[in-house]
Amino acid sequence: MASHRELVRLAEVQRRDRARQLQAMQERLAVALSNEVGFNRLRAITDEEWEAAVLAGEPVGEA
Amino acid sequence: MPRDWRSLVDSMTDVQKLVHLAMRLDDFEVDRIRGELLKEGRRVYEDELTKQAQRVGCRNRAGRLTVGPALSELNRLYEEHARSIVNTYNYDLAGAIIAIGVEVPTANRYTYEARLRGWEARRNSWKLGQVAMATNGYARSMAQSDFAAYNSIDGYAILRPEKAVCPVCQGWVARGSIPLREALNNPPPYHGNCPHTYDTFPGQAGDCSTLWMGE
Repeated sequence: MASHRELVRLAEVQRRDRARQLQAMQERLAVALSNEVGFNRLRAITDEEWEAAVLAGEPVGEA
Repeated sequence: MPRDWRSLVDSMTDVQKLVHLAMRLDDFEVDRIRGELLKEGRRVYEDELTKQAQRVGCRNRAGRLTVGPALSELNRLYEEHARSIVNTYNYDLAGAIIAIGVEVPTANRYTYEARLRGWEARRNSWKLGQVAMATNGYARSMAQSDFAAYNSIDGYAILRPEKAVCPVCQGWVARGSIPLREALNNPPPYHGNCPHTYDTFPGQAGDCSTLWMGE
C-alpha cells in the first residue's frame, strides 16, 4: 500500500502525463475534424452550377 | 436545444446555399467523427485504468477495453458528441457564409473558399481544444468510476488543478478531500472546457492479478 506522500508524487507525474496525452489527442483531432471533403466539394462546383445560382439573383464578380 | 442551421440557410441567397451544401457535414461525417472520438476516448479510458491500477500499487496491469457496457456507453456518448459537433459546425458555417456575403457582396466561389479556410482555421484554434477536453474528461471520469466500482475500492479524491473559474469547480476544489464514491458519482467535466480530473487516493485493493482492468 503506497503512502499518502507517494500517492501525491505519483498524482503529479500522472497529471503531467494526462496533459501530454491531451495535447497529442488535440493534434490528432486537428486532422480528424478538418473538413477537406467539404473544400473538395466546393472546388468541384462546376461553372454551370455556379452560374445557375448566380442567375437566381446573387450579384457576383471577381474578388 | 440544438442550434437550427436550416433556418439560417433558408435566409441565404442561392449562391450561398450552394456553398453551404458543398461544405456542410452530413450523417456520414457524424459516424466518422463518432469513430474518431471513440478511438480517442477508448485510448484515454484504458490509460486511466492503468493509472488507477498504479494508484493501488498494481504497476504491472494495463487497461484493456474490448467489449461490454463501458464501451457501449462510450460509443453512445461520442455519437451524441459527434452529432452536436456536426450541428454546431453547420450552424457556424452558415453564419460565416452570410458574413462573407455581407463583407464581399460580389464574392465568387474562390473568395468563399479562401475566406472559409481562414474561418475554419480560426475556429479550430479554440474548438479542437474544447473537443479534446470533453473527449478526455468524460472517458477519464468513467474509467475512474468503473475502476472503483468493479474493484470495490474506497478512499477519497481531490479535484485538480486547484485553480478553478466556474462556481461548480470552485465548490468541489474548496471541499478538498471528498469520499471517493461521492466524487465519482459527481464526475467532471462540469462544463465546456472543464480542465479538472480527480486525483484518487484509494484504500486497500485486492490481489493485483484479479483486478478488473476493463476486459
